[in-house]
Amino acid sequence: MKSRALPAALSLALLLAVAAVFVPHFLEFDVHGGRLHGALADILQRGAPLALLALGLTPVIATGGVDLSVGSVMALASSCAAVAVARGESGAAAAAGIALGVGLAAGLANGLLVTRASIQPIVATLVLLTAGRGLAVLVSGGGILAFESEGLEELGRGAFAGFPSAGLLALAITIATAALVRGTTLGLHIEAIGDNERAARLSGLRVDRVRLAAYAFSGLCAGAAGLLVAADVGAADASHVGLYQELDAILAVVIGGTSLAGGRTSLAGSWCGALAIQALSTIFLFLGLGTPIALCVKAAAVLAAVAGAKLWTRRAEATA
Amino acid sequence: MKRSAPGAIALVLLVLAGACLHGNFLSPRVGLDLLSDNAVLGVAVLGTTCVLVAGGLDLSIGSLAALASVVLARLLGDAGVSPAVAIPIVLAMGALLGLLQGAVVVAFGLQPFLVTLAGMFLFRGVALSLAQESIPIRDPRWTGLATASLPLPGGHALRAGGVVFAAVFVLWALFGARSRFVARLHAVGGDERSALLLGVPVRTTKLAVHALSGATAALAGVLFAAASSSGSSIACSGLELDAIAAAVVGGVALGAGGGTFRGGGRGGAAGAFLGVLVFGVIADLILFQGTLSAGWTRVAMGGMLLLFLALHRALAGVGSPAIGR
Amino acid sequence: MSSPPLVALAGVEMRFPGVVALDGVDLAVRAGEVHALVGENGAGKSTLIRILTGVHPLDAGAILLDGAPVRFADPRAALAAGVAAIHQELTCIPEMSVAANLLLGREPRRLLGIDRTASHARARAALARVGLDLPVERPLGTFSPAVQQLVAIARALDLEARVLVLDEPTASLDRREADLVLRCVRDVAARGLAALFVGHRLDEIFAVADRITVLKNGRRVGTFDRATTTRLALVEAMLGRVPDARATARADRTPAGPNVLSARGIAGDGLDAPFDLDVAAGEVLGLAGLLGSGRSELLRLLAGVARRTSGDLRVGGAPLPAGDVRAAVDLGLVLSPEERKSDGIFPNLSVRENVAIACERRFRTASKARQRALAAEMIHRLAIGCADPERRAGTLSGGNQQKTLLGRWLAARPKALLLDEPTRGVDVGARAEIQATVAELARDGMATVYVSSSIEELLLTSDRVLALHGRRVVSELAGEELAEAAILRAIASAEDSAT
Repeated sequence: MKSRALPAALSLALLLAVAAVFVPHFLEFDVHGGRLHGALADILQRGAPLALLALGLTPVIATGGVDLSVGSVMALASSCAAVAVARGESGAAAAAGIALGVGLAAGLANGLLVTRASIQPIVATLVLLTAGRGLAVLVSGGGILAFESEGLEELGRGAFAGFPSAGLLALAITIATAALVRGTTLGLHIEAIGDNERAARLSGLRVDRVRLAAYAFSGLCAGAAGLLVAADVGAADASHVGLYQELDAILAVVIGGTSLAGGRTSLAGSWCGALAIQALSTIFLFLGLGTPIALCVKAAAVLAAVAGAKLWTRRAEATA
Repeated sequence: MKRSAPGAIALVLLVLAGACLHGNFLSPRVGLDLLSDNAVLGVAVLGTTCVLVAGGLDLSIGSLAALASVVLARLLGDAGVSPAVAIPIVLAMGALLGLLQGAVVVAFGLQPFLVTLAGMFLFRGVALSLAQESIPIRDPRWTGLATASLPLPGGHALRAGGVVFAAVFVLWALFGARSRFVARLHAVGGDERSALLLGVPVRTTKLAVHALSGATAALAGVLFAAASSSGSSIACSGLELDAIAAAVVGGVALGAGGGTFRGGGRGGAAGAFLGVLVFGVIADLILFQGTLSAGWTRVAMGGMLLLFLALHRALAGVGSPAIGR
Repeated sequence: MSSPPLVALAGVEMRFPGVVALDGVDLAVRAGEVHALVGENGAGKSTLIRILTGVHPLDAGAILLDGAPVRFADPRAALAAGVAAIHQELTCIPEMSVAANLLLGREPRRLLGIDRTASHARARAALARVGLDLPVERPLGTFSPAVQQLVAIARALDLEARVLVLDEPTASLDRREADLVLRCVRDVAARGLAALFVGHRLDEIFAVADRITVLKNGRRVGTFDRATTTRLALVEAMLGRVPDARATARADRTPAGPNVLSARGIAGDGLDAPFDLDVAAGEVLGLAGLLGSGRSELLRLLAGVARRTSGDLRVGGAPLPAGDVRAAVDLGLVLSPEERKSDGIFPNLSVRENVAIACERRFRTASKARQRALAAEMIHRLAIGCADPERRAGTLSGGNQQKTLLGRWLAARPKALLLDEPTRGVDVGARAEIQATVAELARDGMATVYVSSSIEELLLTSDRVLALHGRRVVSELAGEELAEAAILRAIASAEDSAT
């Protein structure tokens, strides 16, 4: 499993190394307000929501599905949380609960469509991709909904031992999830279902239940990502939060070594993939090159990841 | 044709609802504007439908449309090329880029989802590098074309976008829908292995359908440029998913089982055009209401999608128990 | 009947990694002849057909058409040369109309695309040649499988095929439907086409074929004239000769344990006639029957994979609800499926995980050490040829994959084992080891149901044998009756009585 995350980890390291050499002031940082500031801290901080989305998507993709709705669910969750806080009815903890609850509900809805109604994942989650953002706009009343909450601000922009707390939180959740998945038989179940669903059923696994849980978890993570984004900027922007993030998240998972066909997977790889995508944006921002080239590099990354995976399986089969 | 029936019925019901709620909803003007306002999606959905019917997927069309609009604006503006030359160049570019993606899919056996995702990033990136901001098109010949409209009896007129949408629809109905090409698409999407055994040139068909999707995406970009008198690198984002949604509402199936991104073979472009109109009428209804937020449009679209998924499932269950596994 | 062959295969060889699928097979089909090709799973029939129809290139040997060697790059090339295939799984696009399926790629056209009127007329004419009159505009999927097969034949005729290769065209048909297709095949051959008919129902073979070639383990056993051969001879050629002396492996066992598996009036998908079945602890019950006789379906019903519509099934006295694989596994009733690749092995998971998964079906803490210990135990006990339990199961040979599967179920410590062709596609050494393991398990009190297409293997492993035919259990043989001749007679005479 370690080897699976290796390409993603190496790409991230390589990207940072190249940036350290060629981008002036890339490794510099300073401390103010009890928190590190600099490119690396920025990557950790801004990459947190994407890392969470990728984390949630990983089990879904590993079981042979996909969740296109995570970006919209993220927007919906952040809007709901923002409305709750802005009305002054709830504190930070309640807002967090609301965001996570909305995410979980959305994930369960997706999971039921896929497992119970046997609708293709790509179409089933297209429903919430479309409707979720609309609901977010309705909830927030359109436009940008600003709010003030010390608790959320602390979550979004605060620091823990000098490091950005949002980034640390995402990392901690990833590690905890990895520990849960690898420490229990769940990881085996997920990979087995993605590798050969029929055999998994014959082996007595609860295929549908695991799948449902995967979608629910994906929704939960999208809710958490929405919460982090809202907390970071102190506002919810229903029209733009998480827009196209589902595709970046899928890309992160694929770079992380999980095949879209399901099977072997790596949560650490997905985390590295998400951070690599964020690093790319940050580096181009530092260089003042803007998005065009970043997008082209992303395109190359997709093809490299897919071609690499193909070569990998070919080689594995050739040695058989 | 049966698969497009729910879409047609929904369209009629929605229009009737509009007529009951608003007296002027049934005016020809509303109908004509419906065509013009939804021309970009209406043209793009043709390519998407064909790709889906063949069991594939194309995520790149929104970016490709944006790229097409930017290239068109550059050709007309900087290069001073006449629209009569520029438009074919842009369409050919779209077809070529689509073909290229198809070639990668076919040659290396990669998933269309990822290949066209790469295309999506790439085309948007190239478009942005050509123009960070939207480029206004001031070429008088273009403006003449873009603002031209087809006079109709009764003093009405159909704007250029609507004319193209209607023309694409009619031409497809006349020449496309009954072609051998479409029969092959259905065969490849219905059961690729069977199609191969029945002697269908599967690889060529896949290449061709990706080229078609690229060409219609480029045409959508041209229509965007006509409607906005500009080329914009951020245009048409989300077009690919809206097109898939419209196709699903119109009865195009993405396959019932098997892998995540396989299957297809059912439904057709006629249904997908209906799907586009259904979405258009929903948007109109919400617009007419005046008090409803734009958020309702997306919610209604999502709800419609869900409803139609359920409907098509129910119909498939009743109509043909022998199919599927 | 001594006209020169229209199509012939000479010394055809085909190798896949680790397996010789065809080993120097000769075959000749004359114009006007229906030539049947029979053999069990893995005999090489499918490979032979794939070579003849251009799906696979051949490793060695030649295809001769009118005496001249030809090479087919793909199915299109074979079609162009006049070799058309009718496949076992219906090759059709169910959502498309009958006419569209029939004329795919050759639709008559006019200015505005496909000419519906002309193509309907042409489709009707083609269908008339096989004696069908259908509303050709309806989707093909709405017609019965028999009609779909006839449409496929009509398509071949419309393509002006000279050689018709029929790969188990009747596999999914009932008897009446099958008769329709068989009559059509005879008519077609009578018009001067060469027909190669692959089948497994002997009554069909005798009804349709002029000559019959038997394949076994990739070799041609012999070619028989229908007029001069008997069913018994054919079954014997297919299932193989057994040394006279009854294998001694079973001698030291006298199963007398309590009933572990007890089925009453079970029926469901694939087996319409209710059957009863008891297997005692320490007993191996063999299921004999030709391919398609219902032997795999019976196992799938027991394991809860196929839908059970009636009957009562108990494992160790506890009732098992219908259609619940997980409950069956929990009760200790496990199925090792015939289709190892699609239903059994997790190709990208390690041998350790493949072995451990049934034990680890519950959500609980995972222990790599525990899984590794299990894997190591099974690798040792079943002599799985893999030094490293972390090796990907997909990279193992067929025999080792089968042993890994067996290991998965043994690790789960079941009470009853359902084995569907556990030695199919497995080399001789591994076969003996698997059989020995089954015997050893039985000594330790395992109740086993063992499906095999080799009579020899059944005799070697089983205490009792049920003979199946036509998707029903036709007789039971035990003790003194348990001999090759008796089993063959049970299967063959069932064939006779059913005709």
